[in-house]
Amino acid sequence: MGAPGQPERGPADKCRRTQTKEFRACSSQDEALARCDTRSGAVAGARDRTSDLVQPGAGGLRGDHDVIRRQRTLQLACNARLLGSDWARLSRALDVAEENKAVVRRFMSEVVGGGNLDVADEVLAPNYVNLAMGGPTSPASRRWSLPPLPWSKNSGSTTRS
Amino acid sequence: MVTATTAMVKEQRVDDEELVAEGDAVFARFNYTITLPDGSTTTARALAYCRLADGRIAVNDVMFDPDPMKVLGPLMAPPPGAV
Repeated sequence: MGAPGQPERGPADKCRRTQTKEFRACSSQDEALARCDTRSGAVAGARDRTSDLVQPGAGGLRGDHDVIRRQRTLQLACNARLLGSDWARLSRALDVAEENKAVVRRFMSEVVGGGNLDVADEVLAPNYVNLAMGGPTSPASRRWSLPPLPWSKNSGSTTRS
Repeated sequence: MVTATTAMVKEQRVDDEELVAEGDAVFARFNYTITLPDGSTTTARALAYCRLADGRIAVNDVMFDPDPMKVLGPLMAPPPGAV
């Protein structure tokens, strides 16, 4: 029976409330996902559970990066199930996104910030285009962006002294 | 741009970066600080869009505020073919 003023809740809601308690007892993401798999109504339940994790008062977990990461992963897992997607494929997409972030971070810290132009050859594609310099039709972009890379070891261009 | 600025600045630094990735796109927010040989310093806030292909950056579109080119431009030689 629902609370006064609230629509009556059915078995699915009871299931979600039960799963919320269960999830809080989970010690790992794998365990939580396993519970998610074995329950009917797992999608809605997991969404409730992951939302609980980042609410104030949920065991002081707010702001914990591991918990937030777990929440994000679980939400994506739930979305994948809702959409009928393959979890492994989604997981690979997440990995690629993280790897891409690492490449950009390396470019910014080592090439832009650190002046290590050798790294540019590793993190920039052969057809790299810097749109901020006017795009591929811009003389400036051709000079500084298009192949051969002007900072390439083989280009003989200016390097940091 | 990296080559050109690297050659003429005394120091350049990227701080407070934050990255968000989705598929083959990465968005970055950071502060970019350059120090010229005379010791003067300019810091710009920046937003960048990077599109990657095969694990490397293929497109880089970055917007600065203020634009460091206003500081560096007068110091740069015009590229070949530029009017």
